[in-house]
Amino acid sequence: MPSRDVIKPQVIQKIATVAEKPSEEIHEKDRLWEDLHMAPLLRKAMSKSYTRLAKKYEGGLPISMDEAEGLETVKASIDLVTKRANGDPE
Amino acid sequence: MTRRLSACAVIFLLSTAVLGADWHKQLMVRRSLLDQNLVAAPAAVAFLKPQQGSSSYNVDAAFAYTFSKHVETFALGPMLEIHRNTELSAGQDTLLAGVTGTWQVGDKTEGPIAAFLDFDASYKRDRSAETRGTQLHATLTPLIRTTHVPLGGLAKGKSQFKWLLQPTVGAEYDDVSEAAAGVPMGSRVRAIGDIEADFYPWATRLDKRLTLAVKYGMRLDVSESSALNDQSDRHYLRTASLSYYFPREKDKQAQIGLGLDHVNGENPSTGLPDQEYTQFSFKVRL
Repeated sequence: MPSRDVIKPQVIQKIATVAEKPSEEIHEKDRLWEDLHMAPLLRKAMSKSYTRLAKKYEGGLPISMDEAEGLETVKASIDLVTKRANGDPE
Repeated sequence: MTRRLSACAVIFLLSTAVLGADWHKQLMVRRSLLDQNLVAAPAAVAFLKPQQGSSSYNVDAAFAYTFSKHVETFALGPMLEIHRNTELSAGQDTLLAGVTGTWQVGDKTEGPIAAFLDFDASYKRDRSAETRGTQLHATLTPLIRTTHVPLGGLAKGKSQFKWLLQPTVGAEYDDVSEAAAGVPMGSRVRAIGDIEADFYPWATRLDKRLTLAVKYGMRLDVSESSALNDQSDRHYLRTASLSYYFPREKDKQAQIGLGLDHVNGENPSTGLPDQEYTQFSFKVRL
């Protein structure tokens, strides 16, 4: 079962790639739209990489496009991927 | 037919309600599903009751429900779309009912491009044109990483003024299988091209509750039955929509707002005849 601390740098690295920023400049409190300029369609497109992360672990579950689009912050993204990586569907 | 359509609408709503307490999280309410991956344009309702003369109203609303809750690259579900406007010089009364879906290809974190393929297969009833038939619609919305132009879903600008561009290409098959006496029947294939620019003034202060979406779209008839062959094979639509939402956007919470829409041109996909108008309306987005 992966801990949040294991998932966190992996999610931040994915966000940093699309936000075109170094990982060190991405913080948990950052808002995906307001601070990182990620529009809804780009957030939606993150479902694929978040799912790949979650499914690396046994029992990991996918993250739908709607769920990824609805994420507001880096923190919320880490929380969701951690849940799914641990097999939590809610 | 009206009863059958009403029954379809009721079944659609009931089927979503019985699926669980969080059914609304999978429900989408928009102006249209035929451009669902551009900016999330809200459903619009306007009503006019003059001192003299008859009242008129306008509804542009589309509802979709996704059954693919735990799938990361695919969404599929029923859809219902209504475009009715009694205020226009040439009225619009179109209903689309069927299935809608989205398939994501590519990974934006692994490569420079990803894309969304949206598709709709629907029964189409156009009372203004007095036709009924089937419409198949597919569009591709790419996210392309570029240095200067915001085509990749990453807005450009400062925190108080952001903007982005979103192109879409596609194709549509529109088949008229039933029509009133004297109205031609047959099928058409159209090529679709849209480009939309979205502006977010005071983006941080207003939490993106104020948006201006300017769109230029073209439908080109590339093939049509001889009975439908006419002089106008190119259909242009220019729209500008200013929307302001009262509540801040939260996870799957309906947003109510007001908006001003300017429409110039025609959209055969939704049965909008060629005309120009400006309209102030209530808007809903979920």
